Amino acid sequence: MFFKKAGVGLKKRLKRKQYIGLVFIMPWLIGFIVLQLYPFVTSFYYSLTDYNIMASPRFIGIQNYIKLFTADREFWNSLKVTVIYTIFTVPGKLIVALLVALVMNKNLKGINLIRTIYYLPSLFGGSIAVAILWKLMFQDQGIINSLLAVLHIPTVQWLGSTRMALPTIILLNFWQFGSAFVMFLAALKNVPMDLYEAADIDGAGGIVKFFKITLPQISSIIFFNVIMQTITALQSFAGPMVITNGGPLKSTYVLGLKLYTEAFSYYKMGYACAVSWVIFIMITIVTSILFRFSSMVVYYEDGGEF
Amino acid sequence: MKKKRISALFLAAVMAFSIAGCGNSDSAESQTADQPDNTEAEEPVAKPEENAPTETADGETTDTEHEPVTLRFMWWGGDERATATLNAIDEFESRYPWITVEAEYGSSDGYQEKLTTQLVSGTAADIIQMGPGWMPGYVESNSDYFADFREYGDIIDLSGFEASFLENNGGFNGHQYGLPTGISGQAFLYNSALAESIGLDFTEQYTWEDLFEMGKKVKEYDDSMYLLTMGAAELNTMIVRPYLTQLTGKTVLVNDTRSLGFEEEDFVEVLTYIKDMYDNGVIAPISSVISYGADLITDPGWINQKYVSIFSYSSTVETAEAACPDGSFGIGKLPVLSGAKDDGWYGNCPQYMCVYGQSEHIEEAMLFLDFFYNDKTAAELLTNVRSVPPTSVGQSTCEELGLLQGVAKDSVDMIQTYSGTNDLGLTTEEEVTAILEDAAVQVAYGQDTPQNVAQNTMALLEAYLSGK
Repeated sequence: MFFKKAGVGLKKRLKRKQYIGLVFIMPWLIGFIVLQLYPFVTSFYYSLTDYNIMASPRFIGIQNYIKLFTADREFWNSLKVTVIYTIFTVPGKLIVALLVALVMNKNLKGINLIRTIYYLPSLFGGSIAVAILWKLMFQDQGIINSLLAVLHIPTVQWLGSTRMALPTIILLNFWQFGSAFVMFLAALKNVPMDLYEAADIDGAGGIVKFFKITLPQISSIIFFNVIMQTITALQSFAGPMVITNGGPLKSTYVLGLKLYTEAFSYYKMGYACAVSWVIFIMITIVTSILFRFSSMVVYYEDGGEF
Repeated sequence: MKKKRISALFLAAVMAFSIAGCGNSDSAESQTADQPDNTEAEEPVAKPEENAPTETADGETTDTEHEPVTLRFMWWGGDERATATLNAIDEFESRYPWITVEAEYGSSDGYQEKLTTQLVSGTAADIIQMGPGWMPGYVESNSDYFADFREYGDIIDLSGFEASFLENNGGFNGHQYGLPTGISGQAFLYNSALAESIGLDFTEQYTWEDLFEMGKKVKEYDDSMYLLTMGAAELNTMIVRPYLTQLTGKTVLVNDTRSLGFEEEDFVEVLTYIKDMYDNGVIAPISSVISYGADLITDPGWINQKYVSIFSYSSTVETAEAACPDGSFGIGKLPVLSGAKDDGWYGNCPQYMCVYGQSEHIEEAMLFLDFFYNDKTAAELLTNVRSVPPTSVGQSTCEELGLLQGVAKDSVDMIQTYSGTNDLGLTTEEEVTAILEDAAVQVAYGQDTPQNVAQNTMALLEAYLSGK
C-alpha cells in the first residue's frame, strides 16, 4: 500500500502523517483538554467573577484577589501554615526516604520482600484510611499517649494544642515516603560500582564515600524529588482535612483546605478559584527558583547536554 | 542542558496539574464509594415486578392504565434507616406496581455538596431528604427548586400534621416546600446516678448561672470530673446561639433585616460566660476534646463517666447513652437566662422531605409521600428511624409498638416545653456557623479576650452580611 502511494506529493504525505499522529495521541489529548486545560482556563475566568453556582457568574475584575491579599486575614494565616508545612515536610520526607533507600540498597537475604513491604504503605499513603488511623493514634487518650504514660513520659496534646497539631500532621508525611524512596533506590542502583572501588583503594571511609560519591551521583534525583515533593506539599489537603479539619484555631488550615472550604462549604467558587490561582503561581515561582538553584548543586553525567 | 531543564520544567508543570487532578479524583472516588449503596438499592426495585402478577390477580387493573414511572428518592442515614426505608419502598411498589422507586442513599458526608450541584444542574432526585438548615438558602436562590405540597392537597393529605408545627417546619411564606420527618430538638443528657451523688438537680428550670455553679460543685466532688463536655459545634449551637437569643429576643443574624441581632456588649457577655466556664473547669478543656471532633461520645472521658452531662439532640441521645453502658441517664431541662426575652430553645425537625420542582413525576412523588407519612403499614415499617414521627398515624403506631420511651422520647417531650424562636436561615449558614464556632473556640483556648474576639467576630459577620 505504502509503496503505491510513494508518488503522492510531499505536502499531502506530511498532512496524512500528522493526522495519524493526532489519532494516536487523541486519548491523552482529549483527557488533557477536557479534564485539565479546560478547567485550568475557566478557573482563571471564574477567579474574576462572583460565582456561587446557584446563579450565573458575575464579572468583578480582580476584586477576589484584592480581597484575598488585603481583607482576608485567614489567607495570610493559611499561607504561613502552608509554607511551614512545606519547609518541614519536604526535607524530612526526603531524608527518611533516602535513609530507607540506603538500607534497602544493601544485598540482604529477602531484600525484595522487605522492599515491597516498605513500599506497601505508600500505595494507600495519601488515603483517608491512614489519616484516620493517625488521628486515632494521636488523640488525647489515643495509643501514643497511652504508650507515653506507660513509660512515665508526660503526655502531649498532639492534636488539641495549637502548637503541636501542625507538627503532628507533618510527622504523618515523613512516614509517607514511598514514591521518593523508590526513586532513590533506583538512583542508588545506578551509581557505578567502580567509583566505590576506586575510593576503597584510596582508603575512603563510608561517610566520605556517601558525601563524595553517592550524593553527587544521585543529585539529579534528589532535585527531582525536591521539586515533586514541594509541589505535593504546597497542594496538601487530605491530611489536615481528615485529622484536624484545619483546627485547632486554624493552626493547620493549609491553603488547599481553605480552597475546599470556600468552594464547597461556602459556595464561593470565584473566590476559591482565585485561591487556586495563587497556589498555582506560588508553585510556579518556587519551581523556577529551584531550577535556577539546581545548576549549582546538581551533577549530570552528560554535563546536562543530551 | 537548557533543553533538559526546560523539558523538566514542563514535566513538573504537567505533574502539578495531574496532582491537582488527583484531588478531583479523590472526591470522585468518594462519590463512587457511595455507589455500591445505589446498586444494592436496585434489589428492591426488581421486586415489584415479581409481585406485579399477584397484584393483578387480586383485581388491580391499574397496571394497564398507567405508564410505568420511575422515581428517585435520595436520603442520608445509617443502616437501620436504610433498611426500614427500603422495606417501605417495597410495600409502596407492591401497591402501585407501575411506580418504581430507586433509592439513592449513603452517609451525610458530602450530601449537601452533592445535592447543591444536582439542584443547580437539574439532575436532583424526585424525592429529596433535606437538612432544615440548608433549605432557606435554596428557597431564596430559586423557589422553583421545590414543589409546594399545598398545591397537591388532593393527592397528599396534610391533616395528620399538627398545623402550626407544619407551618414552622418547611413552610416558607405560605408555601409548604418541605414536610418535617419527625420532631426533635436540642437535649441535655445527664448521668443521673452521678448527678444524684454530687447533689445536682436538672429537673427544675435553672439558669446559665446555676449551671456554672453546678459545674463548680462537680469540681469539688471530684477534681478529675467535669460537668460538661463540649466541642466547637456545641459551643455555638448550645451556648452562643440560645444565650444570645435569650438575651436579645432576636436570632443571632436577623433574616428579615439582614443585620446582627445583638450588640457588642451582649456578645462579650456570652463569651465571658464561656471563658468562665473553662477557667473554672466546668467544661472539659477544649484542647483535650477537640480531636474527637463531632464524635464527642467516643472520648474515653465520656465512656468512663468523667463528664456528668452533654448537650446533644433528641436524634442522638440514645447513641450517647449507649456509648456509656455503665451509666444511667436522664433528660434535663435546658438552661434559660432569668428574665430571658426568648426561650432560645425550640423543637424542630431533623430533616424535611421535599419534592423536586423540576421533576417530571411530581404527582407520583406526592403519592409516595402520602403513603410515607399517612399509611399505617408504612408507619409500622418506618417507625422512628427519622426521630419521633410528626403525624398522628406515625405517633400512634410507634406508641403501639412500644417505641416511644427512653431518653429519645423524653427529650422530645422536653423540647416541646420550650417555644424559642427558630433561628434557621442566615444564622445557620455554613460560613456564619464557622465564624461563631471560631469565636467560641478562641475564647475556650484563651487565645484572646472576650472583648477582642467579640469585635473581630462582629466585623467578620458584618463582612459576611455585606457580601450577601
